[in-house]
Amino acid sequence: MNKIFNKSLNYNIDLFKKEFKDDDSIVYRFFQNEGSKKKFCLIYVKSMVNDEVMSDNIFKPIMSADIKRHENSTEFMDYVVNKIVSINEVEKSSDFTVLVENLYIGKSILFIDGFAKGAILNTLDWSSRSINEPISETIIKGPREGFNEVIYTNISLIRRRIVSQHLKVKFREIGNITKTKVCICYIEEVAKDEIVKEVERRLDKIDIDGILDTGYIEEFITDEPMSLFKTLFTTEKPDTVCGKLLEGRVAIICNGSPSVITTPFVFIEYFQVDEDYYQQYYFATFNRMLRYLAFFLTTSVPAIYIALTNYHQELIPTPLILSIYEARQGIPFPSFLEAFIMIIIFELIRESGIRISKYSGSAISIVGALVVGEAAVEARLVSQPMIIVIGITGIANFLLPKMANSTIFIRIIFLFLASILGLYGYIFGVIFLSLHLFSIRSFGIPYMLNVDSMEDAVNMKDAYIRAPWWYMDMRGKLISKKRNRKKNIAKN
Amino acid sequence: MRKKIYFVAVYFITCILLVGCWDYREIDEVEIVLGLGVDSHITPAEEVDKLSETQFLVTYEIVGIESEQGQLKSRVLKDEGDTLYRAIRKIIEKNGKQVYLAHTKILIISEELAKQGITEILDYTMRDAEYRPDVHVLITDNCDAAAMFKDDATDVASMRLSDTLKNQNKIGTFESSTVWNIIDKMTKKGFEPAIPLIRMDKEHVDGNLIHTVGGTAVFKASKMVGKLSEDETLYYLFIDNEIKNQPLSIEYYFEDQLGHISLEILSNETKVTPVVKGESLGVNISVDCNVAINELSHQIDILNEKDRIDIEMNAEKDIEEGITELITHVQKDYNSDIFGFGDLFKRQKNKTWKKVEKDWDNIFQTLKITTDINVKIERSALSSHPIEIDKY
Repeated sequence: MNKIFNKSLNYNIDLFKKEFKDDDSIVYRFFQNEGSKKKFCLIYVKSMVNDEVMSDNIFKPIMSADIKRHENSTEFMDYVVNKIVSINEVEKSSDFTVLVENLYIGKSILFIDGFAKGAILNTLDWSSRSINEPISETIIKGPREGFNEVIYTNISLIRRRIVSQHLKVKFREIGNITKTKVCICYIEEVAKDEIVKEVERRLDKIDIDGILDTGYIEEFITDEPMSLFKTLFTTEKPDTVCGKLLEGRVAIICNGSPSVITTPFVFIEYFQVDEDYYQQYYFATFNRMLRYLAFFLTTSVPAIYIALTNYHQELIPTPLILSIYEARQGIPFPSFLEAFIMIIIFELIRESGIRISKYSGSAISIVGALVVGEAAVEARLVSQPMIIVIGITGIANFLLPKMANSTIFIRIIFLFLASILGLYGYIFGVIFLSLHLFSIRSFGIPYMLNVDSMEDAVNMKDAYIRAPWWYMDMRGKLISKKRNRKKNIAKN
Repeated sequence: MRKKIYFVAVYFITCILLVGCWDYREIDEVEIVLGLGVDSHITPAEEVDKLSETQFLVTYEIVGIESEQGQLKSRVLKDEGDTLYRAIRKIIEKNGKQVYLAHTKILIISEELAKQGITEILDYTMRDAEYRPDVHVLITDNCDAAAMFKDDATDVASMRLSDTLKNQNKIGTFESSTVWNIIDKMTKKGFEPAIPLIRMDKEHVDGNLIHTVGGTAVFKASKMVGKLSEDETLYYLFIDNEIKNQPLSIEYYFEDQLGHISLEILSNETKVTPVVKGESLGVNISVDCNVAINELSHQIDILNEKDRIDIEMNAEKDIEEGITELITHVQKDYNSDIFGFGDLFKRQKNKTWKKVEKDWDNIFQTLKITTDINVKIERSALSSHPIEIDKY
């Protein structure tokens, strides 16, 4: 498709017109200068360009400038572009594909009669979403800005917070058809060179026609594609990303997506919320303990309940077992099926709550309460202890929003194992899960970093508790290059 | 590589499906038994030397769905069999569901059966996987074990009895014993089991029969040979070092009036030591008891040290007499070493024990008892004066 331009303006414009035969949104504006016979033509896409910029900075200067003296020189195009047109970004190209790509971004192309090149002028006017609080990550205390879909805005949000010459940004284009702009962000003296190189290498290996969201990139560069657990972290908040950059991680930002990836990722980061760092450390430690407890509850409570009531009745104290005995009279399903049905119903309600439109929102809450609550128990389809068990599971699930996609499977697998083999089955499940978690790595860093080792006190300060800020003077061991937080890296 | 994964996955799934669920038991498919009673039952046509059949009473728990508070109601079923195990299994004939015995709390054995020997029953409870070793055992006093359990009662006997037995610290009329405890004592030489007694008394208010636990049954080997009254059991508890918080009441002469003083035992330590004097063997019991004055029937100035010492000496004499009388009673009438003196000799004076162990039955009767009682009044609860009449 290599179209070649020649010096005739009409020929060049005809090339474009043939390419965009029925496309009404492409405008070809011919114009001339007052004192000269030279013909100019500006090509742009309607509603993607800034009309003011075009009229003030392109049409007006060219139309009113005194260009008679230079109009016949070979340097005329450069003269126009360098001295007359007052636009902040200008490029010249004779490659048809490049010109079309730039046209679609919103830049306009200026052709001058007698030159086989087109000048690409930056008249971008993108309408984008304003900077809002991200919906899925709400906090009580702390900044509320969230990324939006334009990559330049996102980079600016990070740059505003990390004002250092060591913050490096490297761009790439991924996707054969979409040519999405993707950039890597890291702090040079803090992030390990090997990790940065590895990230670049993996990004360069991606071969696909389109990248629409960071989710696509995640699945391409992840270490463990078959695992239930993610080895990359995504977030929509700039302060979270900056915190992680300061620890030595690398951020990947994708145009068109408000989520930003940070690598490497370790298991305890599931339990760290940026709000922990803005609140007082006793309270933050307590909340962090709650989250660990919630992880245990949401995966294990149905399994342990089924295991105890079906296999190990002697472990339950007598008054409790008598009331469970009473509650289970007349229920047609075996316990395992009861628990499984309740989990499925809970997931149905949760998923439909996400997709529901405003107008039907109230119906779902009524249906949810009716279905799960009184009616099922009154009709003796499920027993009351089961409602409590699933309620606790569901509530604990919402404490860990980033883990939701993993815990649902763990829950079901544990439930299945416990219903077949009792507490033995549950313990086998835990062993398999532990084996899996301890064996995977994220960009070379062991996944369970800081969970197991007590040798280095530094590792403990941010894992199970949140030590006060005046106590955390070292960065983590494997992830960052220079460990002392207090030393100013600019002085090196 | 893929084939390997498939093969391993299929192998695992097959294994799990073939092997799993062997112990699966829904809660509502079993009957939870809370208490058992064992009687001996001889059908009229049987001959005397045939093994007696045992008749079982099993108490079930069926939660009353009628009452809104979910009160428990008891359901009682009986069955008989020539072995315990048979009798328990035969319940299915009458009830349809199998019994689940892991929550059994008490085991009541009738007096007749106890006199014939309790080894078979204890062997069953020790062997069966579902029983817990800490099931409390009781012997009935002049009635059948079957009469202990009433059908369709909202007051479930087993739960109440197990609570009573757990609170033995506060009352001092019995000492609760569990299955492992009894078996432990039976297997030791020089130690005999002593099991609390239970009977049905008429409750005065509305004439209903109510369980009362009190007294002790004295065993020799595995047969019951006698009973101890409730008062005697208090002194038995002293020797056994099981006194925690029991009340002790003594008679006391206030000037020239006879009254009572009630002492609350705060702590007690009993040390029993064997004494060998040449050929004669004896036992020294030293009791160190801290009490508080809890009740005075007449006026006395307890702040006065002389009076206090007087009370203490009275209490010491009371305990000393009680212990000596009890041991003499047991030595003479039952000749059963329920106090564990033989075991004591074995542990502390082994050489002497080796010489006398075969003859322990006779030697037990001739043991010399010396006591060394020490009672100390620590405080008198909230008030240091009794109620003084016409003081101001």
